[in-house]
Amino acid sequence: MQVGVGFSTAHNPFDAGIYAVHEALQYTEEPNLTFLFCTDNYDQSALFHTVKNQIGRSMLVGACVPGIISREGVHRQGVGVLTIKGLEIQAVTALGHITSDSYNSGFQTGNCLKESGLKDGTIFVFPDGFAANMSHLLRGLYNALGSEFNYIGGGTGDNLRFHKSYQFWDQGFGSNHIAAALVKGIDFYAESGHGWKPIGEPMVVTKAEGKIVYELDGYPAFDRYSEVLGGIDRESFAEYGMKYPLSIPSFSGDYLIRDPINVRRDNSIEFVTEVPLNTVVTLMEGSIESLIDTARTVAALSAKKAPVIRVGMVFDCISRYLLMGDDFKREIDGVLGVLPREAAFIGVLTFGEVFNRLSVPLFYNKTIVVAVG
Amino acid sequence: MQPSTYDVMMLYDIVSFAYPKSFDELFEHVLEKSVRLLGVSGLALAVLHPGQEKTIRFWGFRSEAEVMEIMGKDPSQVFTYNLSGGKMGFLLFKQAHVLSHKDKRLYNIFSQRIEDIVQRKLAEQELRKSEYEKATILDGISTLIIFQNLNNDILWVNRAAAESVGKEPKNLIGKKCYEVWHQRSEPCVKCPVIRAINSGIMEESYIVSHDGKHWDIKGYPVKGESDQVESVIEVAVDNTAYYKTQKALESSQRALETIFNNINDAIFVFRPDGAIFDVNEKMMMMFGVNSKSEAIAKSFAKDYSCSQNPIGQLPAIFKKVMRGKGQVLDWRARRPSDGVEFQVEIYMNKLELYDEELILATVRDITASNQDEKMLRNMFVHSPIGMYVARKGTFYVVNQQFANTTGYSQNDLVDSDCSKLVHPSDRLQVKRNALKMLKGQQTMPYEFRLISKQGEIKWVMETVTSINYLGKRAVLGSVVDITERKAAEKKLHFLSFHDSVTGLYNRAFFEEELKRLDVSRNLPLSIIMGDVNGLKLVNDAFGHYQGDKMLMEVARALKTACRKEDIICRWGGDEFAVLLPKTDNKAAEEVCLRIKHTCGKALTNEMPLSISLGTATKVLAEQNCQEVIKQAEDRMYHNKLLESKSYINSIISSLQTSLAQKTSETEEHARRMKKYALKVGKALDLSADALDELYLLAALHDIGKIAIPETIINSKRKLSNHELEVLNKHCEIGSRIAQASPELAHIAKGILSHHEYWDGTGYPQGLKGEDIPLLARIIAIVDAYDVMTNGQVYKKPISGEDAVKELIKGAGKQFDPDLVKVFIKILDEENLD
Repeated sequence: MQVGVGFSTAHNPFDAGIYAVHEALQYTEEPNLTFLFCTDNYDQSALFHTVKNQIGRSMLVGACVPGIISREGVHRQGVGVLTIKGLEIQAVTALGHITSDSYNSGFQTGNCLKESGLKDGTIFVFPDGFAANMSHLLRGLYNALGSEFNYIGGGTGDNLRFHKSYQFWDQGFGSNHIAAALVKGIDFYAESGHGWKPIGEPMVVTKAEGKIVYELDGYPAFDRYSEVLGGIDRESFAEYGMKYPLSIPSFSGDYLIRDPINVRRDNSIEFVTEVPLNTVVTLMEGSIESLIDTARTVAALSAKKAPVIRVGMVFDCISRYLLMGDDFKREIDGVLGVLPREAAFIGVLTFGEVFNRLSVPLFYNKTIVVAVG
Repeated sequence: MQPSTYDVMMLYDIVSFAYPKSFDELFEHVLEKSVRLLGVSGLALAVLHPGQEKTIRFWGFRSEAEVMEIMGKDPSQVFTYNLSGGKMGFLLFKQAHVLSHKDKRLYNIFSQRIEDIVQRKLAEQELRKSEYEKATILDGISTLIIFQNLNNDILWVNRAAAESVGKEPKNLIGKKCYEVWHQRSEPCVKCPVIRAINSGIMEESYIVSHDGKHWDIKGYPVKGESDQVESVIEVAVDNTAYYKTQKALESSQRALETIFNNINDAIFVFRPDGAIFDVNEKMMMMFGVNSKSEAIAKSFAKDYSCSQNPIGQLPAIFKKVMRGKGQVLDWRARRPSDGVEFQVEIYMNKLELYDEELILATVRDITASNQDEKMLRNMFVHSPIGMYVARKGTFYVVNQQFANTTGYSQNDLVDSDCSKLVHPSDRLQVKRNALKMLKGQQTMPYEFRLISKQGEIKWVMETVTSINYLGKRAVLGSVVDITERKAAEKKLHFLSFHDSVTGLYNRAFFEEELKRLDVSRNLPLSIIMGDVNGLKLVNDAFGHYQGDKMLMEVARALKTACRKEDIICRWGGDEFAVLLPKTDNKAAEEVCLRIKHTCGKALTNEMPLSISLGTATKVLAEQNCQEVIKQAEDRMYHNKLLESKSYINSIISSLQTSLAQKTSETEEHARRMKKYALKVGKALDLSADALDELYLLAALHDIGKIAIPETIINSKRKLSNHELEVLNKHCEIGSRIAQASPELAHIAKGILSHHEYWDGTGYPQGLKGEDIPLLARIIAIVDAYDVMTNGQVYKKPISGEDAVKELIKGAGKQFDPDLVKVFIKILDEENLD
């Protein structure tokens, strides 16, 4: 099996596509599967067709993401291509439209992959990170495919412009879609973690709908959030929101972070991902060091599980990158530190991360997922 | 031990539910918490609704059967909770790992909470159901119910009543019944409601409303405690559809009667015991009876049948028909009036009429059709087209021609499976086509491959049609052997895309392929253009047959050097083209090298093969293919300019060597020729250029002999006229060879003329005197002298003196007399030396 990786930060989509693919194909001529990630600065159609022309009959999956991660660091403009080739590799891809019935969208996409007849392997999922209900989407996907698969991926989208996100597969691309690939023949071992710790007293979500939390403990959400933090004003919410996200409990002592992004006029709070009604939430606190330590631990745990490492992939939350600034490079270096030098490496910044600690994939925020294969 | 924040949050979360609007919503909440908090991989919630079947919702399982199967099967990873001890249903959680005590505690707490909600939900459902029943029973029926007071003011109507006039029930309250339904200002004359108010008992009537609807209306008086009528309930049933159906039935019955009596077959309707129940008019005509009563009064067995029929079997036949098994009988009928007998076919089927089970027998006089059948049978047997009748996919009968086509005997084929003859790859398509044709969706015959008994594959063309054969549905097939036509078509198809000389694709195919392959996924797309060097020379020297052999040799070399996915074509004349999809310029150059190398190793007529090549590559989708071809051609021509000259020279050199080997002319002869010719030239004071020309002419004047058969050149006997004619061609051939080379073109005329005679009796043009080029006249003398003095295979040498005598004898006839003198003078001087 051969794995190739290529990057380009060229401005022109034709050049960027050709350079990145050319670099990857040096290691894998005629690949079985190609991952294509790009930032939103490119004409997505031109880039897609350029890459498609270069990779022959390879299956393709990917998306537009807020940043591409290479061994050199984060590129806010660039194209990243990962190619996998091998006689033992079997890959199938799908692109599903995400409708208001997110569960069904996930289910249909899963059924498309299931038609291949492959019974196990790894599912890579790149949904539009701002789609209706990511948890429903993943539960639908799981219900179609079942527990014999690993699920890895992340929410995709543009550079926080919240305009349009693009997802790619070998037969085209779409906006507000989920791109997915089922890969068999290469075993991926993944781990996730965030490095955030609960602080303060728990609160109850007493009124919520989707990604909007209207009330906490029966009070307007922002009022209660502010009170727990000792009183903050609306203007400083962006800064506090990034540093003090909320979390909901998950199994095995874990917490699912829910990232607040906006205070609305009625003092309700908008989150990146939906928050269930009647659940208990608590504030979370983290430091740059705890985040970096966690990333290193996550990478080490995933690497420990893999007998051989030919490729490393990272799905890292955009908000970690925004919070850490220049220190983000240390997080990536921490991950790279446990990967062999010769292993192909690619990462993307995501809007929410997908990973199954047990059987069912969950949608995380402010988390890093490291997969090695 | 103090619980941690996590434990508190967890406990709160698993028991905290928003009261769901429905069981679906409850399931969604349970699923969210199960997956997130407990890490379940499968969940099922079954609820038993009182008086109804259970409903089950599941996730992470493929089917309800899988849920039921797993219950209790793998308790280590499955937690099942019976809601209210199983009376209300059950909850099932499946997780990826073995259940711990903590897991079980949490599932228990979680399940109890869900149980509470299911209980409340079911109670709520029950309450709603009873209210719903009250409210909906009356609304749910299609009968119109209108409750009104004694003044016909509407007090309440059900939904069906309101909907019949396109209103909401509440909008009709207070209005008059007759205003709303009948658009009248006063009650209907026959209104049963008014009558019921007056009579105090139920009244009913049938009314046609203004919109043509038919109503059956009943009025039920409602009495108070004083037994006085206080209000009335009007119940109206819209029977419009029923009346229309009745009308349609009557009309349909009339139509059936018309058909019954006008049909061209006689019809008997029998009772199950065989008694005649009814007959049609045709029966009376066919059997010569005057009235229906007379016809019915007779017995079918005794009066309408001949005695040789199996009359005793009729009761059994009737019984079979009554069991629903239709029967077909070949029957000898008898006309009771005059005893005339005739052949009929009887189709019997069960009939339900007037709530009675009867037998319908259709009797067809087949006297005439028997004759037709005989004719058709003859046609079938003697047809030059293969024909068969098949039933249910099995041959029933086949004609001799069909047997001939298949190679099987008729006996082999009858009762055998039709499809076994069809080539396995064609079976599905044949079945589809046959079905289409039988349904009338296809009229054109279809073609397929048939495998004969001898294993030979034959192409046939078939048509099928549905026929009634001996009372049963069958398929009549006609099959024509088109194997030869197919072979001709295949050859024609090959020829239309192939070059007949080389067997390569032709230019038309190349251009079609270019269009097909000119898509981005085939980029880079390379094109090689090639031009064979020296083809003209070979054509001229050895004829077109040899030229074609050279082209074939080049084609073979191209096929050897190119890859199987490359498209090689003869572009025209001596040009070839190769299309190389997904090939960059570097790889195309490598292919060119391989072609050159392969050509270099091949030989035609002892001459090396050579082809000049040029290549160009399309890299970008927007590049025009024609421009790429032009670029390849330009490069090829450039290379040809460089390569062609040296190649022609090498060919000439090869030819000379070959000629020397082929003829007895030795290098010595050539050397002497050059020597004497130059001496004559110098004696004539010719220019340096002319001397060069003379030198070449002396060496190559007989080059044309390369194309003359060795048997003629080296013949020791006298040549026949025809052989002489062939030999004499060497002047023209040699001239054409010289013309093919720019460096020899100037001696072409000399070569052509070196056998011309001074007196005009030479060949090939019969030139005379000084019309013969000077250099040719010199060569003629020198050559004659050398041949005479050195001899040839057919002639012994003579002495120099005798040769000079011969020259003098030929001067003015064969040779230029002045030049003979010059030459003799040179010989004399040589002798003196």
